[in-house]
Amino acid sequence: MLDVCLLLEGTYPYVTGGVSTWVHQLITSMKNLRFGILFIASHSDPTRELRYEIPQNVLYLKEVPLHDYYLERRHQRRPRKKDFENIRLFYEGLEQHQHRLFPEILDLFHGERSCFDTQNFFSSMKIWDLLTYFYKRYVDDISFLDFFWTWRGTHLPLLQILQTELPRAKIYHSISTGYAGLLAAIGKARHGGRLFLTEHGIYTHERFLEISQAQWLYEKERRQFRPERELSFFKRWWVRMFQVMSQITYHEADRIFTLYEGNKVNQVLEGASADKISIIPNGIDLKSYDGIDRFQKEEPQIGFVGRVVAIKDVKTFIQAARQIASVRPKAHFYIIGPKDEEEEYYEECQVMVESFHLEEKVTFTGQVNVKDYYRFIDLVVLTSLSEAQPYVIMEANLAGIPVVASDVGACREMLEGRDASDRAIGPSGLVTEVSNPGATAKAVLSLLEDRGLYQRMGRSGQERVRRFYDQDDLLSRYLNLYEQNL
Amino acid sequence: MAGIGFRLQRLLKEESYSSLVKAYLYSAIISTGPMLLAIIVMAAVGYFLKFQLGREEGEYFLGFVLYVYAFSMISIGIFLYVVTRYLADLLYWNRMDAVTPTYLSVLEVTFSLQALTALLYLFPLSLDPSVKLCLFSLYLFVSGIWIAMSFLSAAKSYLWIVLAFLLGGLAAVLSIYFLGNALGFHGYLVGFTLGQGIIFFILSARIFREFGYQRSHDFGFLLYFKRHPALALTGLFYYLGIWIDKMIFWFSSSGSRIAERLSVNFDYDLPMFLSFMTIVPSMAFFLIEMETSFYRHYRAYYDDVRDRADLATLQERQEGIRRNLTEHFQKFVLFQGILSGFVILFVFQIADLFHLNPAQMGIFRIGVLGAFLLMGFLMVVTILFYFDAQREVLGLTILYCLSNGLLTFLTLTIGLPAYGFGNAAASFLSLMIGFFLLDYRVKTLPFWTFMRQPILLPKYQFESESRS
Repeated sequence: MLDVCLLLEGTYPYVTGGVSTWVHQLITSMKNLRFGILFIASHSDPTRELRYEIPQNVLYLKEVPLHDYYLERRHQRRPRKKDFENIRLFYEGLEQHQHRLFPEILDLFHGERSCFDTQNFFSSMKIWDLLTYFYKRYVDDISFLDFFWTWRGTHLPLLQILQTELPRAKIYHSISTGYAGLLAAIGKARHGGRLFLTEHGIYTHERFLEISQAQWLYEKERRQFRPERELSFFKRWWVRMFQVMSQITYHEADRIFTLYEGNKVNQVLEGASADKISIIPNGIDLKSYDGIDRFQKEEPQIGFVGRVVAIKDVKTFIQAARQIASVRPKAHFYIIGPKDEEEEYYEECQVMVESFHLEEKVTFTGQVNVKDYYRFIDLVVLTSLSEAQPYVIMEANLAGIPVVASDVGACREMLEGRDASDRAIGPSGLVTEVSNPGATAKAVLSLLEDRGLYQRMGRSGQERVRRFYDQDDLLSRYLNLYEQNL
Repeated sequence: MAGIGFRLQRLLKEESYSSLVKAYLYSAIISTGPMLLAIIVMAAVGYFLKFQLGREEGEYFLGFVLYVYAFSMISIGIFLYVVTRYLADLLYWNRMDAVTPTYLSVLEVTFSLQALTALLYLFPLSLDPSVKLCLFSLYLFVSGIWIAMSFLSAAKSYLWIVLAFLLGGLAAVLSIYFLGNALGFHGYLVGFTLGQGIIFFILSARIFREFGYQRSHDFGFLLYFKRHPALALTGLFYYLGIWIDKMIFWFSSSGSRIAERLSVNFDYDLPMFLSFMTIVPSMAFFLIEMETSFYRHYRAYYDDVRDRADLATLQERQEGIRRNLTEHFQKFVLFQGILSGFVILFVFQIADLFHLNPAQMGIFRIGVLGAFLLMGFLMVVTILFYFDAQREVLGLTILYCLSNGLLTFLTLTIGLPAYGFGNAAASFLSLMIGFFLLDYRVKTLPFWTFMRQPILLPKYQFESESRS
């Protein structure tokens, strides 16, 4: 039996990124626990390469392909009237955000008493009757062709999840809601054990953004008037499906973790009960910044750390730079991060720099070792439109550099403190309005002017990160949690 | 066949009695062409026979022609539905350029097989080589006509099909008359073969004319045997089912062995063929009226599915199909009922006209009923094909074949009064079950339209491929 079974959708160990790095740290820091990994992908792919060296204590690794449907016979008995009735009641329960029948539904698709598999479910006359029943209940006048294919498209991967074999484990720890969360809830229902959920970003919000921009979903609406900004029926269907999966995960989870307060609010809005939720931010390896030798150049050195992409809103930074340069003409600006992810956006940024005649003052460094720049940079600026809990703030603060950041994600609580004892340390930077170059420039200038404030913030930052964002410390909170539940 | 039915319908729009008669005549010839011609020619031949040949030679000739039709029909049956399906798909993909090459390839494959069958049958017979050659070519010509007809259902000019059969029939009758006078049995055989050859070549020429000549071959249809094996079996069992009662009679104790490897039973065969003639008007009705009207409702339904209609609209369309079918089946029952009733009413006069003996007259009477039921069965099967109910159709044709065989065998043991009842009972049974299946299919049409779409694994690239 495994100690911890991790449920991962599209991340570790095949895809790199913040979540994957965190998972890798989690596993390697707990060498005496036996881990299992279920990796949810859209398809199985034998050529997929591992992006991390799998630690010795991972005893089980399986891919769960969402769209390589099981087409062989798997059911053990014929479905009965009661089974179809339960399905109907389950769906009607969802209207009131209830899922009491979830365990009964699970048994229909897996195990000794299962009566459905992909083939017989999607070709059953009784299921068809249910489908038309719900069509008439909910829409009645919408394209039936699209209704049918949306139903199939949403339910094929769901059935795939319901039929997935899970290893026995004492703890099922899902690193998102959605399919992974649903799978964890299934593991808990089938094998007992505890269900933990850690959400770095809010799954339903991410899916919502994807779906609202999707071109492949049929848009034509009902005949009567509807406001344009509302999503089409089929888009709402997809969103709703992800919401239901999240609600089931929240409901079944024993503990829920997220990175910062703002996320907690969103989780509560999506149906999680607040008393289950704890905040465990991501941490930083304190040792890696031990020997950093800082020196001050004569003229102000301002750094923007992040990829040159639209969501980081580099343009606001450039506009702020122009305003700062008009007051402090000797200041120099560095845009530190890869330029090749959105080349068109990078070119637009360059044009902007040229039109402001800042070519001499603004440097696009491309991908470099940021630590080299932390040695002499006076201020780090973040103008992102969206963030979770940015690593840059921890890095800069740990190096003793105050940060000017837009008010998104965890930025405010990372710079001003989350709870009373944290706030007592004092601010380690300034929070500004999103896409407001004037506010950003004003904040930067105020820190450049007020040396006392600047130094206090630098010290507060170092202290805050050491006290509240120590990676070892934060991971050991998970270790404690695991150990309490083994 | 709906394609040609629509073109024939234009004749009906002229609203004169002569065009009505013309339309029905054309569609009768097109829908029953080869069979009708064979029966008419054989009736004519039977008439001449008396003056020109001895009874023995005459039966010998008719026996061979019977065998040619029976065995070519059954063996081509294996190909017929598969090829028709392939053709339908070609037309759907707008690949008109592949029609003629497919025709040539189908001919190559079937002719090779038919030649082999014919050789195996003919080689050991102690016949004059010229007779063997004649029978050999006749067998291939008739096989070719079956195939050509299935290709011409997609053709534009029905007039040429009709003309081919008229010319071929005329040539046959004329050459039989003159050659028969001069050469006797040999002359009959050559004349009949010549007639069939003319039909085959005119039909083939039409295919070339309509679809052009692009390539010498296209064996794509062979894949369809793998994809739709049910269609091949359906064709086999359907045509075997049609002939199995006759065959059982040939080889029963009441059959007569008129030559080496040639047993027939004219007491049974003649009234059965004659009764088959009574449904020719219904075949025309089906082609020109029922199938076209059904097809319009059928299309309306599927067009609405594609045009993203709501469920209530689809259910209205579905109801339209159901009403339309009910209406036309009622019309058929009335129309054919009156016709068959009259035939049975005047059975003595008809028996007199065709010189039927009392035993044949009895079989003819029940044969008329059997043909009526068989026509209904044929209509049900054709409609079921539109709904792509391949499994149901296969089941029905197997049922028809088996029950026809078994019940006919049973009637043989009962004796003369029961002859013909086996065939009628098999048609009745198959029609009833067919009706039930069709009704169920139409009532649950949206279910089949949507829920029976196969679940395919989506195509995708390996991540490593898309990266490069």
